[in-house]
Amino acid sequence: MKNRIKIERAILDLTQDDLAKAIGVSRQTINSIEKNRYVPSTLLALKISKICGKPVNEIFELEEGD
Amino acid sequence: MDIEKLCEKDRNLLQRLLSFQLPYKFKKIGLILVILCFLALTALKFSTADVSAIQMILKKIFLLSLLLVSISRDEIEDELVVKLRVQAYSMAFLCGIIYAIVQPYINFIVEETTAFELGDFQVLTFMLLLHLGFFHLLKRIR
Repeated sequence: MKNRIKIERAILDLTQDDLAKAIGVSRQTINSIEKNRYVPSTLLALKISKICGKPVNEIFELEEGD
Repeated sequence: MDIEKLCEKDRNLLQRLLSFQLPYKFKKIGLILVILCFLALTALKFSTADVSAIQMILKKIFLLSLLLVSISRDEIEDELVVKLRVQAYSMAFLCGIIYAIVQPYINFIVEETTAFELGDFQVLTFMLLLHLGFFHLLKRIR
């Protein structure tokens, strides 16, 4: 699964730490999600989309083979 | 009370038990106790007096301290940390079983004795230390 969290963060001028604090996770978790090493739960995806102000499927996108 | 409500009550109770964790401060307390017990047990190795009773108590405290560290929350306990914790537990569980099966044979090859019994202290310490090791490693490479 691809995601646009890094781009959305840049748009909102947020650091990984800012986003992590806003949704109540560690900075390393945001880093793992951005690098596609970890697929977040629906709850976390919804929290991220709320911060970014965009629907979940605009931030997270299925890849071929998913 | 109908069967649905009973099942729901059981499910909630089980869920609460499964998600039980101690606060973060217990991790620090556990680590301090582990170090102190380790040092005391090492010192007792060189003692000439009969200290088997003290050793046994210290071993139990050592195991309980390791358990404290193992079941304490992380500073930030998010869903990724929970996932890594579960992975570390499953790895430690598997390695513990393999260790319990294989260790007597290794001992037989190395020391040529069959009179070797694997105690609870040895297996549990191995599993708990392995869990902490795997958990730390997984967190580092996450």
